[in-house]
Amino acid sequence: MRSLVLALLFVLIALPLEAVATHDVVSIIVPAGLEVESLDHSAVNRIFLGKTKQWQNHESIIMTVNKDKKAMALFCEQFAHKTPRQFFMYWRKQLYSGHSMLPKNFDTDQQIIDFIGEHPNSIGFIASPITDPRVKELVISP
Amino acid sequence: MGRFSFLFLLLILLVPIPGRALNFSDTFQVHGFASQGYINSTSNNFLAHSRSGSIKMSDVGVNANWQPLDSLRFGAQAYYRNLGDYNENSVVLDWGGVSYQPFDIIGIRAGKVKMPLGLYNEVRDSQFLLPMVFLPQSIYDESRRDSNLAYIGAGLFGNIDCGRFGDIDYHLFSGETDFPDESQLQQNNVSSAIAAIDRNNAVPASKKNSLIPDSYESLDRESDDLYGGALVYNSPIGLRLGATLIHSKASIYLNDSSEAAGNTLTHKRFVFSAEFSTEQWLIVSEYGETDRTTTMFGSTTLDGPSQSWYVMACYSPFENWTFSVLYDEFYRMKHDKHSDDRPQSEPYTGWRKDMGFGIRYDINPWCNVKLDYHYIDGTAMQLSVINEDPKRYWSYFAARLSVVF
Repeated sequence: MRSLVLALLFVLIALPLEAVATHDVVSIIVPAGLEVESLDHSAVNRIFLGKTKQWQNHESIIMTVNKDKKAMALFCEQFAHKTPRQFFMYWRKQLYSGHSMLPKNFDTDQQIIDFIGEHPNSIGFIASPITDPRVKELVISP
Repeated sequence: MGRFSFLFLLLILLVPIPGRALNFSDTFQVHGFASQGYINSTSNNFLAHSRSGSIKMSDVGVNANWQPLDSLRFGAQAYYRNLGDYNENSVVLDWGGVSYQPFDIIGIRAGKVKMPLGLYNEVRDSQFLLPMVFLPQSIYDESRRDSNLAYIGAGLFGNIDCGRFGDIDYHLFSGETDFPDESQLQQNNVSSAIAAIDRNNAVPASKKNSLIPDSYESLDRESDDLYGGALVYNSPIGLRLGATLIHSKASIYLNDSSEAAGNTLTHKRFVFSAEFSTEQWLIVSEYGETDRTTTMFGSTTLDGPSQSWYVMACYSPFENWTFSVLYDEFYRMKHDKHSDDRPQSEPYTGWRKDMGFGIRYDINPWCNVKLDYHYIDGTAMQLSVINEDPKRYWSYFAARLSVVF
């Protein structure tokens, strides 16, 4: 009986830990050498909607879009407040009305990491853990 | 040409390459869109000779953008459109010019620029982006599209960051409208001018209007004194609020005369807009008035504001399906809704009340199909070149297949 209670207790404790361990998050990444460590939530939103085009040092932001389904869905849910379809529609409206070109887009997390690692003022998002020293994750405040 | 665009559509659909954009380099992109539609109406024609069904609803747009500097971009969009029997059947410049934006808060555009009017005028040509086959006609009148589509001139634009409260887009402009030589509105003006000349020639010489020529040779429309601006507030919770104000003047010249035969002075045209979107819902409403004075051959034929408003709700229970319902109302004269001041006309020529339903299915990220049904009371905004004797109650069904690349 005692072991049953302990097992139940373990399961109850382990469940939320497991949930945290597998909780899907998206990371906003920039080149490791960029002198930016954090952004707030609305700043991320504005950058990826093309409304903020420059870093604070006035260098132009090179924004990239990750078309990987998981990364895109997580990014849209956490930062864009749109579905992936609404996000792409937004950008097509910018394009066909003559307001903007489409942002650079890539199919995988690795392609995003490779591009950002090679472009000093770029920014992107990935859903996999960051192991490449060429890029770093930004701290996002509410 | 309609057959050409349809084949073009099929060709695009048959090539199994996702994301068909042509990116020649990091700074040069080519994109485009195309659509083919079908319309069938009862009692009245709408935009085409639709009572017998028409597939003369085709358009193709191709744009190219070159960004040599981060803040400098050159771009243009070529546009082909075929709608009904009234030829807009040629390739025209939809928009094109230069955009320079050194700071997020301010930039300048010059050339032919899409006119900011309500929330959707700038994207009205790209069928793929619209929830229904046509935008609400009270604000986005398709038969008078060429008057409101774009301006040739320059504009200031930018985005003002309001922190956690969202941001504001603005666009101020001045220029003129580029009226095409051939369009439904142009055809309608020609028909009206010829009818006025014929009527004048039929009366005794002593009663003739000396401002009306004896014969018709040509008609030109010219625009001047066009300026305006638009503000759109974008909240972080999916709410957008917009306001547009436009002033314009369009004159008609007959037989290459240097004196205008008539003109329409739009003292002010305003549109207030509200849009709320969530993952599954898009709810939008816009209200507008156009205060204008039209004179022709020395007589005032129209003087006062029109009134337009609509409410539209779009529901997407699944990612690929959107169901829309629309109520759209237009009054030719806000203060004379039943045409009491025009006893020679039927009262219903003064209004248009449209109840519409639409289904949109996104076949894939670059192709969708839409089906619309509309039941309409009233014939305001109908051009006589399409319907000589329009009926009060009428309806139409429209379908459209659209692709982008």
